[in-house]
Amino acid sequence: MSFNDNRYRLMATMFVAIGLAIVIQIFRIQFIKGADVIIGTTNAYAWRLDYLQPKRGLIYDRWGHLLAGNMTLYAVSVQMNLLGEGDKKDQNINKLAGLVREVLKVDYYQKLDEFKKAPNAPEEPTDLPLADYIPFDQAKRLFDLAGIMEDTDINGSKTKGKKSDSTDKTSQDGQSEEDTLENAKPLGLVFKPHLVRTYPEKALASNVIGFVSRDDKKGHWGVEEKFEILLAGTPKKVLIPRDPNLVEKMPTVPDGASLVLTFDREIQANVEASLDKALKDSGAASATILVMDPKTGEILAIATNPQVDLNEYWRFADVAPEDPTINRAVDQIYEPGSVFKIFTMATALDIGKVTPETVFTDTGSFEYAGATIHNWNGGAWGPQTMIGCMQHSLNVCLAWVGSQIGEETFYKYMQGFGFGHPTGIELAGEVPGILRLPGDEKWHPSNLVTNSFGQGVSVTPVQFVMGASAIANDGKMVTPHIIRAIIQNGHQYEPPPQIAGTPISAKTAHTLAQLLTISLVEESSLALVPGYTVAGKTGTAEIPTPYGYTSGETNASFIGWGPSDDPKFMVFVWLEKPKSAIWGSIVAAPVFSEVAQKLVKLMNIPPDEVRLKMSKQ
Amino acid sequence: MHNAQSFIQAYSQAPWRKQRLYIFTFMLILVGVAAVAGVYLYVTAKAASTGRDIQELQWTIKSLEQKNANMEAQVAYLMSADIMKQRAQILDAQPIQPEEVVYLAVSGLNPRQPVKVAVDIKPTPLPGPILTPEYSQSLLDWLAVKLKELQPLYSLAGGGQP
Repeated sequence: MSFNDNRYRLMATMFVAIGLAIVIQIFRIQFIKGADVIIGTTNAYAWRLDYLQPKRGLIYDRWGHLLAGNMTLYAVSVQMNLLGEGDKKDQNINKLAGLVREVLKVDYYQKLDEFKKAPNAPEEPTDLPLADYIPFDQAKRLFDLAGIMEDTDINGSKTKGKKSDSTDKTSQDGQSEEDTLENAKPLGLVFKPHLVRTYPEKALASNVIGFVSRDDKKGHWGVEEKFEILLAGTPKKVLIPRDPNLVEKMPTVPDGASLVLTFDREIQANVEASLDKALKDSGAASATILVMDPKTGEILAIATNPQVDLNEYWRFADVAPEDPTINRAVDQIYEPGSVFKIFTMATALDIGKVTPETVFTDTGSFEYAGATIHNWNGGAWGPQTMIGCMQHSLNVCLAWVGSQIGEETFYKYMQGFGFGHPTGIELAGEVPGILRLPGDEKWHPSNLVTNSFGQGVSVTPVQFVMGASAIANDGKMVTPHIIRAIIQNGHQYEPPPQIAGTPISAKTAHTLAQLLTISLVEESSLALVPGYTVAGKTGTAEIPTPYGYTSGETNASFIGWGPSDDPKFMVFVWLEKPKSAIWGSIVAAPVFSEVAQKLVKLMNIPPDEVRLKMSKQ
Repeated sequence: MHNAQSFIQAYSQAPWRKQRLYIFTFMLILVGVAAVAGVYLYVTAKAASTGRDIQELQWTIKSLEQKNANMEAQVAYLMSADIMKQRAQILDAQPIQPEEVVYLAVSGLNPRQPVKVAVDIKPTPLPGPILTPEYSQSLLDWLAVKLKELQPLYSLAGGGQP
């Protein structure tokens, strides 16, 4: 055997031994102690646990104006390992602490203490959160200053040969400012963008839209609360593969559904302006104006106070320190008073107990079940037709009408008009109102006549317009609604208008509408709209106290619609505790007129003369 | 003749010739394995690289969606009712008075319709397979297809069946 042969054999043996060792090791590491830890660690790096939050759906008005959207704000934190080591680290921390105090108004050392005090917190954070919800301009200022300070030593002189990462990227890569902010990390500062709810119209329709809280990330009030599940979508906790070969397993979540409201932004803005003026002129404690299309039930505007800029919803307590009421149109009940008489008259006309020409002789008082009813001025008005009764808003007359209707029929009709039940409008916090029925614990037989002129019954404005829609819409009562369309997965679903019932006949509706039109004209009401015929009724209700109707304060209201022969809008006005005058005919009727005059322009409704001429062509 | 046979025998029995045969065989296997491994590596690397590109594109889509949402909100702020009112005031626009409004009857004019935010998207069928079969079928698949193509020929050669 030659020397070469031995050498070859030795080398071959070595190669075989190395190969065998590798194979043995491959098998051995599968079973050694702690193999499961290695496998676990490998898997931990292979997959990343993430919480996929769908983009919250948008809210538009009927013409596509964005009422609630999403905008990018930044969460700012410090990546501690980028601050360097030893003296360099201390220098950078000093710079950073001064900078965040100046720009973010945040105490770095306090944040560090808070972090360390948290349960199970590590001794040194790898990533220290400093602030959240920082707008772009503020984040950019912090970023720019950090870039400059990073290049400057503690004495203020420029560090040799080193340029700011941030400025380099902006100029050389041509990246957008947002990209630069996300990629560069001057002084270890990390800017993480995330979408946050924003309300471009600020306080406009704030009571109806609602807001998304930054604490629980959920919708509160109005549409945001009512449609929380739909708008928010379904967040998912998922494992995302880091392995690019598993890219097809990357999970996705669909965005939340978007909503188109029946609201008209221009009408809403104009109605809110009228509301502010009414509050100022009347000195009322609160006011509510609701505008609805009486044929479809589409709510065009709801204005009520107090309002708050939804981008700063936490200031609501400052705006209304003693008043938790959010949307008086749905969550506040009140005794409507004389405006309720339209429903008593509708019932009496429908069952044929009276006609507009029926004469009632008003002696100034009416006794029923132990109760004595007087008129608002305490006077006796003598013989009056039903038109006169409505025109002069005579309690005595309507109490008599109520007694003629009888308990069973009266309450059957009132329930038919929807009183005592929520309307089902898609807004959070709707209350059902109070309609005590015969047999209820607190019901008394005298309630029949007091309820007939709107005392002892409590309603919400939205309930009221729903009931009144039957009179304006040929006897068909529509369900008030605020959602015009829902957009999900690229499809737009449009729920059709719903008829909630037909409490009165079309003939009764026409008769009563005509009666209310004539009574407004004969009364020379402040509610009249030049060039247009409108139907309506005023209401003044004393506010009850635990001792009866003794406060002297009133709820002034007005319900009206127009044009009388082909209604396009219905307006409900409610002023709570007005000071300039207590009567609905003086404080609420002019508000209706002002709103109606704006509506005819915004809704392109020609005056009656032009409209009738056009229809004949 | 004898010399020639001796030379051939010596040549065929030469030890280096056997060694070369082994080396060639080994090298052939090695090249084969290397070729397969090379192709496998290339395909795997290409798939990984494409996967990475897709991952990056997914992040880009997410980032762009975020920017779009941001821009939509900014546009809405710039066109909010309050801002538009301020702009109208700057331009000295006045609210129209009822007596200034002129109404014209225009036959066939449809009133303004509420917004359609989403256009209903219907699934669009693909025009056909993008890859030709050569890129997806195996050798056996190809053979099976070819045999199927030949089937009418040998059934005719057999004189046809009743």
